[in-house]
Amino acid sequence: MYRLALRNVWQHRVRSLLTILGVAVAVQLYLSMTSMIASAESDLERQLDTLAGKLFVQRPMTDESMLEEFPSPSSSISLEVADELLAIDGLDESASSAILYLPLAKPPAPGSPPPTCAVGIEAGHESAFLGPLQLEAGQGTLPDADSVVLGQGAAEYYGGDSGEPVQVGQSIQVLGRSFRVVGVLQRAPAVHNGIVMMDLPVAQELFGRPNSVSAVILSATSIEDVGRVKSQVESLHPELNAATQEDVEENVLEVYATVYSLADMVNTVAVVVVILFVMIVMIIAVMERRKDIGVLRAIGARRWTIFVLIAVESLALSLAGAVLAAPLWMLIRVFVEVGIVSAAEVVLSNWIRIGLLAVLAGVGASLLPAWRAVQVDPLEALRYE
Amino acid sequence: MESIVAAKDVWRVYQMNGVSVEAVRGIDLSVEPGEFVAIVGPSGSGKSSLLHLLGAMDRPTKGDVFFGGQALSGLSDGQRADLRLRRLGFVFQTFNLLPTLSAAGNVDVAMRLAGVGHGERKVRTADLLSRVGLADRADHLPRELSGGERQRVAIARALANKPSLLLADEPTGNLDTQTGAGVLELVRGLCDDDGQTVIMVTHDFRAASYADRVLLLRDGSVRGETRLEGEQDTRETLSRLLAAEL
Repeated sequence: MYRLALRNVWQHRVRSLLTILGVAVAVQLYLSMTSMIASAESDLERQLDTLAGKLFVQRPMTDESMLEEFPSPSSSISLEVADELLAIDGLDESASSAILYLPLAKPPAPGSPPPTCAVGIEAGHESAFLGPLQLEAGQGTLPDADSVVLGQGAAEYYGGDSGEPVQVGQSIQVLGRSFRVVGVLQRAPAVHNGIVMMDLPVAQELFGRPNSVSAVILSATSIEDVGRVKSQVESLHPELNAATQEDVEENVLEVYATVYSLADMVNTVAVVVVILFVMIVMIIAVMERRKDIGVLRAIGARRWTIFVLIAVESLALSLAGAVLAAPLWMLIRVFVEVGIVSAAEVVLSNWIRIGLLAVLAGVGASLLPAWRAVQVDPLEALRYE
Repeated sequence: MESIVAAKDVWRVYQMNGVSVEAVRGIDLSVEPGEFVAIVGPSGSGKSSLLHLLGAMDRPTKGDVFFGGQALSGLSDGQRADLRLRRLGFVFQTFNLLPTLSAAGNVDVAMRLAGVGHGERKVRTADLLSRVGLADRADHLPRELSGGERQRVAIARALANKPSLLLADEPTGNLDTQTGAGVLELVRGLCDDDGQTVIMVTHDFRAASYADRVLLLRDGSVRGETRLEGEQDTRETLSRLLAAEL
């Protein structure tokens, strides 16, 4: 009976192809949303990795209705307070530092990070901000006051009209001052991707903040000491906000909750569209083949056999659409931004989900038309007078 | 000898827009194994309705149909479907072949439904198509076959699961005289050579002349019944029946 179902699909090739294309587009949308979420989650994870075992101390935002940003450009802590915090017992000094964080360009959209931002940090303490981030080229430390380490996004930004990212050894201009690029990071989470990391005193001079910094990063010598250090910070300066990795994660998840909801909604709509699309086509197919169904029932096919026939046909259409969606999506992604390897990785990591989606849609879409098919009375269908 | 199929006081009443239509009215009927019975009557006489009742495609409003001594009223929908599949064979006026399957595929599908294995299906399909004279047309789709060829394929399909009873509803209704005669010769041959039991419904007395026994149906009731023995007797008998009908 599977052969009969597939023959029916082939018999109406144009209709079947259009149905498959429709399913492919919907599945491709599902893949895009899933990929977007996966990318955001990966970004988040990497971002949080840089805060493992650390405390991020900054002044809370004055507008409580706004979600806390880490780091916050509006935060300001005096150098005295920063020094006091950096003197707390049990800190890894090389991984602790005051930082000055200020955007160098406007963010593309409200709530999104600026394409590039200056991060002033104490020389020799660069790991406080960079954490486990990897270098693409050059070094991650600042040998002198005229050197900078760029994130990938910043390197592309300062590449300008040429479209080529700035390389190690080249110079860039920041607020009228020339800097030599000594290192470029690999592509990193949003906060780190656009950084222009420079010596702290140079940043303070550039931005006219000689006596303040934006935040203080405190690294405990062991994970177990993070809580103690946080308590000390809160005790010394209750007006400041001391956020651990978990605190930042909670905050970020709150921001992403809306994005996740939107993506879930789009995915749900995609699934519903697939089911409805295939269902409509199958209902039409059943209506067209009432007589054939009547013949099968007349010669002894059971209702269950008819049900399976319709379900197999429906499943064939949805599975074919899902299979077509994968290369379609990869083609789109290659043209948009990521390489074919990255696109393939997403497809492979989601193939079970795509397969289940196709099966769910195919079976779900077949229920109503199959039910209508098994209701066909052979006498009614074969009436010819 | 137990009859293949028997009807005991069967009635079939349809409700149409609040009006009761008695298509079959209290018919008693018995068909013996190997018999070729023709049910003759004008349009609206109830002969197709009777055939559907005998073929377990419809349920009587009153009375019962017995197949091999078993009452069909006690069977579920699935059991009736099984009966049609394994013990009955149907031939329709409009052939009713599946358009997406070849001649062989149409014969094969009946055996697939019955769960017959691939090897046996292949052999039996070839045999049946050869029997109906279409061995060289096995791979042709129904649209590529003539009316007579399609009906032969339909007969082959009806015989696929070696049915005890072959039911034919106006098998020559859509065929020209010569082609129709060929089909009837084939059916007659099945009876004579293989002992196949056949019930055929027709409005054509010439078609009825191929049968062993003729039942004359009118307004849902049997009005006459006669046996046909020999060609001369057939002509005289049918002439009498036709005269009575007129």
